[in-house]
Amino acid sequence: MTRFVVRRLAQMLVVLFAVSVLTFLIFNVIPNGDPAVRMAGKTPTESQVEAIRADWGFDDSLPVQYVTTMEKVLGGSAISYFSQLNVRDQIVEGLPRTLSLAVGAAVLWMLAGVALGLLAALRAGRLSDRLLTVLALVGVSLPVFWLGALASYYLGFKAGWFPNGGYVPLTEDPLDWAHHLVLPWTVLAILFIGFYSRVLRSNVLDTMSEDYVRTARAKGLSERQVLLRHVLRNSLIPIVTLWGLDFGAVVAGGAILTETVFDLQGVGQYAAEAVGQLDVPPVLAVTMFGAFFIVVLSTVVDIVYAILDPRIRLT
Amino acid sequence: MSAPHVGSADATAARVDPPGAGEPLLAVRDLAVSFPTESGAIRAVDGVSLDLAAGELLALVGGSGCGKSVTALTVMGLTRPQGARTEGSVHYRGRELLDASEDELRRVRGAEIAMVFQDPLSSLNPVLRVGDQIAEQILAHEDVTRAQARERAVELLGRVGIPAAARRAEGFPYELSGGMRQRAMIAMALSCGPRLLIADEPTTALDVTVQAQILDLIRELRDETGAGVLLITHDFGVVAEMADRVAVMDAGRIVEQAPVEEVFAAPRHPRTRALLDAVPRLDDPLPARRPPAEGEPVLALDGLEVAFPVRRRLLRRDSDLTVRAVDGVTLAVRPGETLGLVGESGSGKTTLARAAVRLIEPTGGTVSFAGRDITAASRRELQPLRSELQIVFQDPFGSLNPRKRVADIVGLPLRLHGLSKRDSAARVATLLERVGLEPEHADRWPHEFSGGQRQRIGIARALALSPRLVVLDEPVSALDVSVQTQIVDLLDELQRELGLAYLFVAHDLSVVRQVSDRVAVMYLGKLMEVAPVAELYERPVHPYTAALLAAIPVPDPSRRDRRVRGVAPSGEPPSPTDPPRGCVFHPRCPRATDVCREVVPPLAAHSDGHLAACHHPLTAAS
Repeated sequence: MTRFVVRRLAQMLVVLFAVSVLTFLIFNVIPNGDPAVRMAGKTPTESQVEAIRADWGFDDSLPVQYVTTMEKVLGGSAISYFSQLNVRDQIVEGLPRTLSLAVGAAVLWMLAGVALGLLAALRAGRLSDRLLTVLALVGVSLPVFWLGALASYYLGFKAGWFPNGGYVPLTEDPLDWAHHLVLPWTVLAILFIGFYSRVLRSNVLDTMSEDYVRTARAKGLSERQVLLRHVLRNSLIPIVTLWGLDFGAVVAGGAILTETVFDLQGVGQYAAEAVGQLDVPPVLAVTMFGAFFIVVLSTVVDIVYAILDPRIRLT
Repeated sequence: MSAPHVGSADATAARVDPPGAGEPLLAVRDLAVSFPTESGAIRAVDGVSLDLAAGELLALVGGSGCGKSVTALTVMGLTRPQGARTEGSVHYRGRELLDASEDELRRVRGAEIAMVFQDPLSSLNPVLRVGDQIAEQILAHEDVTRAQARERAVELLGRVGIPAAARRAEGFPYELSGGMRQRAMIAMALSCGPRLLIADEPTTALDVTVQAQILDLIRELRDETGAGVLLITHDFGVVAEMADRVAVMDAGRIVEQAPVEEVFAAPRHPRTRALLDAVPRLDDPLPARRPPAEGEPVLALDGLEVAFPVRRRLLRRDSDLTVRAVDGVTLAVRPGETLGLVGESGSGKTTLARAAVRLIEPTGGTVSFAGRDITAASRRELQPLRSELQIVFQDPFGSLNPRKRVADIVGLPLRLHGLSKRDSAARVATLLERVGLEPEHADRWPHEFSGGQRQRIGIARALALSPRLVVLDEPVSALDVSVQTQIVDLLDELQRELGLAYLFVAHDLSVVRQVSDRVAVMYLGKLMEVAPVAELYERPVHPYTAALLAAIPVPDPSRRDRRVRGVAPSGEPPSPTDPPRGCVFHPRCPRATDVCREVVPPLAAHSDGHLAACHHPLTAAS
């Protein structure tokens, strides 16, 4: 176990290094990416650009630039080229918002996905199963920006049931916090619910034909016990992996669309804006944070998996 | 879900019951079971009637697909989830079970009628602790606390002969050996004191020495508890060992039902006779075989070793372990001969077979083919030899690509070795005819064939390039006895006509005896004994060989009590990751002494061509 974690940590360092180098290089080869020109305003003189270049170290060689930038990113002193704000402060500011969105949505999509998937499996082949199949397909196909805009317009603006975007910290007013997040949670979850319910349905159907389910019935367990203890439990194990990774992706900035539509000012939105401006320090910082988070979470998922299924060995 | 129920059980029961017998424990009358499918209903059971008294052991025998398992499952209402439609009646102690409510049935299942299934690994939930799985059943039927149920589970595990039961109860199914798992299944079945035990092929997935122990256990428990036992099996050896009465099934019907002695002495139905005739017996006369082949061996293994690294477990800090699956085996297959290789699971026989054709890389020793050392030959160097060295695999379902037509499966080796499409098609047609299939079959898909036919396809593929040696890895163990005979006959015929040499790997000693010129016995990666077939079966020198032979159920009920008990080894093979010091067999060997615990016995000659690795060999006198 210790060896496993140590090995994963070592792998993580390699991943983070590769991610940072790639990200850095990409932003250096993008056309019109010269930050000095962009920072200098609309009609800069050559000398102004030169001054900025010298000031920010853009005239150093690429490896030197990489090292200095990374030093600042990791040390928490990196500053946005354009807003001049400290990148770490901005991420710390956005993180609770993104976490609020991710945790609520993840709980919602897991519960609803499992419930609907189980229902579909129990009614396999019947009308309700087919209806759920269609619904799941619709859910997966609806674009988040469209669904979000629609929900925000009709349920928020027109009906006035929900606030028009924005975020209230949990510590300030828990009720208001949840009130602001109901729509984003639902909109983000719908995509995953469709997907999870399909995966669970097929897992449940596979598990139902396992010999040990027949044994469970032969023992005289009630159908409910058979379903909960033997079928559902075993069907959920693979879903846990999926869940951990999807949750990681959302926290790491994967919910850009939802965050933007509801103006949550989370990490994803921050990263999206930085990418639009070719603002390298925030992009690097968010990418590194995201990669770190995903690697950590996938390690946690593997450990949880080994606990849930004793046959799994960690190497 | 409730099944349609026709016919009066009481009226027919009076007619069929033997005179003088009281109400039987279980009375099945005119049972018919069908399953709806897209292409119409499939009638799996078609009018089965049978009685079972308390304390009686009834064997339900038949080939695969005859409906014996469906009959048993239907008694417990376990075919309901598959949407089975049933007719007739199943009377259990005066109650009708066929149209009982799910709730009524639930109270009978596990409490009064318990079932043991064929494959104990897949029949136990892999992620729940063994003890909890037993406790769960007790809790479903009795008003006890969780702690009491767990305690009972440990007791039960002890009672069915599992050592360190308390620790085992905390373990997961994968941590138990096959025999221990089946014992745990039996403990579970016994947990609520059932009056009827249904055992569906309970030993088919087990090794022969373990089978003997499980059969003994079932018999003991029957004597002790007075429960009726319905034993489902395809193996007439097991029937002869166990049954009081026998019901033979064929195509959904019972074709013969009689006391066990009668069935063996005077089988009345042709199907029974056919099934009995197909059973290979150790006392059959040996088939006449050609004189031992001369000349340089086709295949020679010298000190062959194959070791696999073992992965470390979570939370446990084992040092780097290796399993020595094959540990220094020296063997030769001569041109045109069949060398039988037998051993229990984990003996390394399959690894050896695969290493011999370089599908697995040996980690030591040498493999020579036709006098040429191919241990280190590169892929390119092996390519031309591949045509002379072929392998047929055990599982005729898993080893044929389901998305390729037969023509492509059989023709692939031909195309790889440079035949044109047309030549290869012609050759495929000839090959299919050669193995008893039709040339037209070339256009079909594997799933359109039965198990026996698929194995013929596998053999045709192996023969495509006219090999000199075919390695047969358990070629008949997945097939019914009658089909086994056909395949064995085919192999024999091919060998005579084409002068093939076979390395025939199997766990079934009776089959090996039928096909082999010489037989090698493996245990835990080591070679225990090699001898000409008559010599090995009549005068085994190694106690392990003797034990294996003694463990085989003899298909003759009159010899049931004369079978020497205690010769079959107790316990199960130790883990190959941690083989015993000295002679690997010593922990299970009745003749073991101090020297066996320390010194590895060398393979020594006992008579012409008869080698054994034992410090205390059995001689003619003993």
